[in-house]
Amino acid sequence: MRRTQRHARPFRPPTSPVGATADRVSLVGTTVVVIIGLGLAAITERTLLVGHLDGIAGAPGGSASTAKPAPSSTPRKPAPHRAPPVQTLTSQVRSLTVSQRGAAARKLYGGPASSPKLGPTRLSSDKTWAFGTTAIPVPSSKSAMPQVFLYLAHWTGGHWRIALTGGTQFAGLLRKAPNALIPAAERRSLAAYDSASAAAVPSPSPSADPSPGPSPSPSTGKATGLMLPWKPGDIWNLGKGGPSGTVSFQSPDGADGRVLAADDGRIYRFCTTKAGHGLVMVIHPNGVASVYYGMTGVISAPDGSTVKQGDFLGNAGTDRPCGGSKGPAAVLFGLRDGSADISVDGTSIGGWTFQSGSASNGLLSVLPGAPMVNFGADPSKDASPSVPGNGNGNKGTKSNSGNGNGGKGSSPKSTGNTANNGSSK
Amino acid sequence: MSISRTNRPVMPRWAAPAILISSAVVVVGTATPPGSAFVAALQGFLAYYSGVFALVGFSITVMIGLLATERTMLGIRHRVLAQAVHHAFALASVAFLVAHIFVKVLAGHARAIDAVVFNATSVGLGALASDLFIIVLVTGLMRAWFAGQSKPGRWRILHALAYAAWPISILHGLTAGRPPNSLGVGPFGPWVTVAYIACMLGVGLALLTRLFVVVGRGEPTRAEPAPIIELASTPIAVDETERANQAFWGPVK
Repeated sequence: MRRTQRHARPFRPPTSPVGATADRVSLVGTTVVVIIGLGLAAITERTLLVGHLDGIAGAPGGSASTAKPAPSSTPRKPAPHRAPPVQTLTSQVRSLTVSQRGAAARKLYGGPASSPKLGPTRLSSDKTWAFGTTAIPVPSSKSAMPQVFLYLAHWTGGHWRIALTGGTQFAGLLRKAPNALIPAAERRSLAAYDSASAAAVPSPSPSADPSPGPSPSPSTGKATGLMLPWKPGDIWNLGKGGPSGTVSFQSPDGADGRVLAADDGRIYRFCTTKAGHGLVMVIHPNGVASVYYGMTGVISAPDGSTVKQGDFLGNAGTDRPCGGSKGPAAVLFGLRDGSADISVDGTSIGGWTFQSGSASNGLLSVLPGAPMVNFGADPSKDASPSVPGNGNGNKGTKSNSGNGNGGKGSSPKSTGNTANNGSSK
Repeated sequence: MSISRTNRPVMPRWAAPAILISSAVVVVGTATPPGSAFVAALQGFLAYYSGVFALVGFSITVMIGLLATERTMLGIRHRVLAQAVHHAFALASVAFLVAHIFVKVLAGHARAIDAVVFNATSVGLGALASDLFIIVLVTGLMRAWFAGQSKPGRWRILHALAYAAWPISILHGLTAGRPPNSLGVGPFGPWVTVAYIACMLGVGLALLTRLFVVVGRGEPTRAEPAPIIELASTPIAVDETERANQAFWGPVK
């Protein structure tokens, strides 16, 4: 078949511009390969030099917040099963905290929620279970109670399954957690906390039923069974203008400034791994927790340790490990259930009912800034179904003898009793 | 490994010394404390991003590979360029894939064997996808060898494994990687969701080009390519060149 020759062109080796460009483009691809190859070689060399197979050394906050990073990586990948990557756990807990609780925290703070701070991680011996604390810091210009959570994580199916308290998954994960990680008594306490809601504080409504607990009259709040967090008999000042739903107490000259546990429970610290600092939360047997923020010299008991009512927790101060604007030396006090804060408004703590920043105890009434006495434990504590054997709770002068004020008596009677006790000091 | 379409050598002359020097720098530098810290940061970077880059890179590779088969709008010169870009992205993506596997095994997310042996878990899907992509890459590199064989069509069948590898790798990213459910909330912002949607849309659209070519029942009439070597002699020589051209370009359909 004849082909028509179009033009008589002189012979030229093919150097079409397309070919040159194509070569250069391919060269780029090759360069990327070489660079990555060099990078992997460097990583291998460093791994061999440093001596342990650390995954992401230098991940922000990773090494600081996991307990003992060295021992967890010296066993070079236990042969039978893969070593769970503890280093990635902290970043995943952070992102889960933000995605699940970030929006609510932003709304509460009235400002942006920054990256969560984790406390030390409690790991099971095979590193497939982890337990720890996470907290969303408050912006430094805002005044709010930091939102804090406990988390459980289980390495399963090639990934970490993480659950925060107050969510739907924590209870299930808690049931499966090994005893070595969470002893049975602590497990009960955490389960109560996770499933608690504001209803754990007995309802004061008049329509309240024949509940075993007292049905306090409207002038006294829902009994919490707690006492004010300082030495009974001492006088501290009610703080002014704190975040709504919380209350702060300042220690004036003459008081010792020592913050005490409001009730028996288990203590957890948040926002720091440094000794002596942190937001303290005590989970009480009924599942409600009391929160103490701003303290210095915080006790260094490991998370989950038990404390008794009246045990020393820290000194009133201005520490802000979880962020937030500073104020005068005080302890910011609040209540929490598994997922959210319980407002102190309308509750009775140590016989004092808090409402809109003021406190009242029968005929006594205290405005913000004014002094108030710690009468000891909540008088209705003995009738509260939650706390067994609370005879030791009444460090104050309140007698156990079925004063039952806030309870069976009518309001004037209970007031009278309180006033009596007050005057007997 | 680029196929040189010009008379120039595959690697520029400065390539070999550059590689030698940079290797030496890397080996020595990693032993120093600041170098070690840099490498640790690099490891963290790769642990976080290499999977992302590999998956996005593979998606782009697939898209461009599909687009390079388009014949109605693209001339041969465009297709050559597209193929070069396809090669470059393929190499880069496989490099990131290897880095991804390497760093994850070092971090303990998977054992070395898990990178190759696949099963039904999320990591296993990744192993399957990476095995398939490696086969695809090797066949791509050996393209010229296949063309010289008796059945050049075999290349096509093997390279078409990419159709299987890509969706499996997307599944692996969705199940083993970071969740794409963070539209505007969370530290990842919407980028994860956007990236997944973009990759899937892009490949989906690129697949349309294949449909047009396949369904269009053969190719449109091509202009006869001008003979590369023009001889003032017998037409037979020209025919042979023509035949060689067809034999080379033919199986690319």
